Amino acid sequence: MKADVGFSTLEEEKKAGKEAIESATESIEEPDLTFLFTTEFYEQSKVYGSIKEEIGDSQLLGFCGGGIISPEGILEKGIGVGVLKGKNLQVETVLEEGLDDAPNDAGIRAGEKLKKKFDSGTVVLLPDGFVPNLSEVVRGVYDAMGPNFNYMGGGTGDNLKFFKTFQFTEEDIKSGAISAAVLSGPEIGTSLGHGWKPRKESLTITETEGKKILEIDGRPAFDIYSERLGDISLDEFEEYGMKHPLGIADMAGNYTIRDPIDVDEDKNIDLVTEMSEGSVAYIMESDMDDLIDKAGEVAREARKEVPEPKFALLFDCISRTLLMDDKFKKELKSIRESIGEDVPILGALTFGEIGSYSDVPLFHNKTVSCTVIGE
Amino acid sequence: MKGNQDIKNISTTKTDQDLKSKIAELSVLYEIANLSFEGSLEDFTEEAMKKAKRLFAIYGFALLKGKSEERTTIACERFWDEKDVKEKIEENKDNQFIYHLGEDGDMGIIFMEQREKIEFSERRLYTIFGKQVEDGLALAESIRERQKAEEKELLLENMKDQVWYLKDPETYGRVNEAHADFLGVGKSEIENKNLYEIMSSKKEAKPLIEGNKKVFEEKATIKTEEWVQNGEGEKRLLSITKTPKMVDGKVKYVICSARDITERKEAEKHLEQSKNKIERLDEIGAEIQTCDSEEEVYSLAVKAAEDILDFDICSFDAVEGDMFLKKEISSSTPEDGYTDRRIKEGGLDSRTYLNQESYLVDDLSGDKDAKPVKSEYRSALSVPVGEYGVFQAVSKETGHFEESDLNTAKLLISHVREALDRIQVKKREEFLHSLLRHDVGNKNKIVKGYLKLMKDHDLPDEVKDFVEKSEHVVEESTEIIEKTRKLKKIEEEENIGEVNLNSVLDKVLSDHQDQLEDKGIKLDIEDSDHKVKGGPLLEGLFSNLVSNAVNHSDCDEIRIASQTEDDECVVTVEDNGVGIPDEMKEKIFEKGFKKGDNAGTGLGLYMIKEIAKSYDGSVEVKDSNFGGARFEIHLERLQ
Repeated sequence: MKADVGFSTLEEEKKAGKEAIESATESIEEPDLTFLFTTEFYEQSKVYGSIKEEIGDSQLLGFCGGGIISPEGILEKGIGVGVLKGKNLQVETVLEEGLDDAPNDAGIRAGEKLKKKFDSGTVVLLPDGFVPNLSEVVRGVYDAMGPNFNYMGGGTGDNLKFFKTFQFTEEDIKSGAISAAVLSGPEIGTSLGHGWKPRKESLTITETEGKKILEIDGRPAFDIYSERLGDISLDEFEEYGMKHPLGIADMAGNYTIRDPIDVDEDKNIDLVTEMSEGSVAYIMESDMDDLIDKAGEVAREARKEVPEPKFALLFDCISRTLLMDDKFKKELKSIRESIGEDVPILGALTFGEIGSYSDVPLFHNKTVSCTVIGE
Repeated sequence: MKGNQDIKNISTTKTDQDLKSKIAELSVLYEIANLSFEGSLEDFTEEAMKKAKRLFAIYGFALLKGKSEERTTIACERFWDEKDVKEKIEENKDNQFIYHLGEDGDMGIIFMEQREKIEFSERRLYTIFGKQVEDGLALAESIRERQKAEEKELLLENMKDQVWYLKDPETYGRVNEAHADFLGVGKSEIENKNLYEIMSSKKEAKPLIEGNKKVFEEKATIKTEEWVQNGEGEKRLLSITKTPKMVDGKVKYVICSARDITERKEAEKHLEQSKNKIERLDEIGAEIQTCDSEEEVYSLAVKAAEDILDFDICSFDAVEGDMFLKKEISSSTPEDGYTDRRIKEGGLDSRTYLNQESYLVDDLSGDKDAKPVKSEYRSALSVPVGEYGVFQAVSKETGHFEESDLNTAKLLISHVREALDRIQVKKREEFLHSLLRHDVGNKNKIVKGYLKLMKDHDLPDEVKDFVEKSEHVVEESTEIIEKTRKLKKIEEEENIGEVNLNSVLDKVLSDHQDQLEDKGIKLDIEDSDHKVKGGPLLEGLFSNLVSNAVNHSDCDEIRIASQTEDDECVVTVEDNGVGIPDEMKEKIFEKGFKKGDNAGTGLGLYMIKEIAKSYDGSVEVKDSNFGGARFEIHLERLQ
């Protein structure tokens, strides 16, 4: 297996694309699979076009994210390309629309197409992060494909403008879609984690509406949230919300995180991703060190299953960078050290992450998802 | 389960770990407790499936309904099919969890599967979850049953049909509102009561009870149609069905339903009557078409209106000039019940005729145009007979005529119109025909006269030739008129019967004797003592054939013979003349075909063919062994 990465921060699309791909393919001709991550700054179709011109028959998977994770840190304005070529590497991509209308059905359709050629493998899922009910998309994919596959991925986005984002494969570039691929052949390790810990008492989410929590424990959502955090004010929500997401436990003590991002005038709390009514949740907390340590642990877990890592794919939640600010570099450093300094890593800041603690993939917030590919 | 515990220190104390597990378990228990049925079974099972996969270590979930052999899936992973699940259930592995829903699993089962062996603590939680699902499904079922019962109740009470239960042949069970209303009583007055108590007498109750007993004894559904008196004393025809409800081979109760079919039966009877009328009208219509005169048509039509349509007082009024004149009235129309009148006097008939529209008037007193001859005429029906006039029927009752009466009257009138149109055409044709024969014939005679006068003068040879040729043409013209007359007669020919060929041929010989002698032509007629189908024109047929041979074949001998075979008689007329070329053999029978200077009118052989055809025969021409042409006339032989 051969793999490499390339980056560019040039402003002109064609030049940026050319620079990134040339850098990635210096030692790899005719890659089997090309990953392409872009940022909102560019006219996406032009970048896409310029990469397509260079990669020949290579299959392509990518999206527009909140930022590119590069060896130099986060590129808010840039392009990242990763290429793979391997004798036993098999890939199938799919670009499926219709997430808005019927997310579960779209997930099922994508899953049905992906599993046509494979009985097992690793599934990389890149759904449009602005579409509601992404949990249903992920559920649909799993429903179609089942437990013989590993799942990872992240929600696509833009640079926090929440306007429009893009997904691509070698087939086309779309919005409101999911681009996905199955990889089979090489050794692949995946892992997921966040570093958040629950505060003592649980909350019952008694009423929701889409991505809004209306009531907790039968009372207005913000009132309970505020009480649990020592009676914070509405103005303080932004700061506290960043540091205190909600977490839903499973039987093994894993927590799926939900990120609160706003409160409206009716004291409803807006989330990045929906929660089910009747869920039991905890207010979570952490310190930077815990978060950073955990990110390193996630990378180690993924690496553990791959004796000879050749490439790593990383999806890190954009809200972690906003929380950690400068310290985010330490997170990236921890990840790199865990995987190996000489292993090419391509990553992006995502709007939600996809992965599983057991077999069933879920949609997460404020989490790190890592995949390591070997021989 | 590859659980990643979110704790600060990797090497933490067992107590801490236990605490975290307990907290997680408690959270899961709370979530399980929140799983409840809220109205939709589909939503509930979907939620159960989602929760199970989110909270537990499982990767697959299925919910099956029913007892083992009849189980069907109501929720299942898409990557499993029903067969997979049923096979897995039989495996009973340590990574599988099965929870039986209901008593002995008669409601169904929950099946869950995970990668690793299911530990005791997990199994405990799964069991609690299973119980919660069971409670939800039981609630769903009881809500469904209650809804069904409510719907059934609603349906029963709002049905127009009567429904009642019988506990036994003598005793009512529940009844619906419609049944109680029919009997003119309140439900409580008859529900669960004995028929002997409800009915006014034993005598009245007995036949009902006997009827009920039959169902209980025969244990089979019985359907009857019965006239039953309702609470208002009115007799109504009911279609009654009584169905026994069997439990363990015994009749537990009988469900009875009744539908009032009184109006339906009347409508069926009415329809049958209408159908009969239409069929009879069609028959009379065919008869009307054979009428030769208008009088016959009107007479037949009025009779039909009386006998078939039950129009006692009716009439046909024809338009002549500006008057409506009586053509035919029904036998029940009184002497003073009709009067001729002017069209412009107005009235329903004028309106009908002028607008060419039919009218049904329920109350003549309310119609501005109506001017009934007798004040006792209260309702009417008026139908235009095209340009010919108007048909009307009246009654002494208001609203006597219905839409169906108007429709059948229109049907009758359509036959009348058709017949009258045909008679009109025929009259016109005859008129034109007689005009032709008479006027043209007369003109011909005048021309002949003048030509004769001219011949008496001393004329140059050339002019004499012209005069002779003109005479010849006038002769032909007269001949054409005669033949046209004969052709017309062929169409009208009705005197078809048995004809002796010998007598016909004898007459032909006799008619042509002089002509034959003049031209020195021998005519041999074989004995032809055969009876054939024919008429007066048969003589003309053979006469024309002989004339044809004499005038156009350049022969000196003509032979006539006949042969019979089965039911056919073939008469041959052949000569030793020039014959007829093959390419003309078909054409010579076409109307207007002529050949050569001596050609005739072009109608002779056509006429022969038509005459033969009118007697169901035919004619053809061949080459004669005798040297000339051989005409074969095929006629139907009569024994």
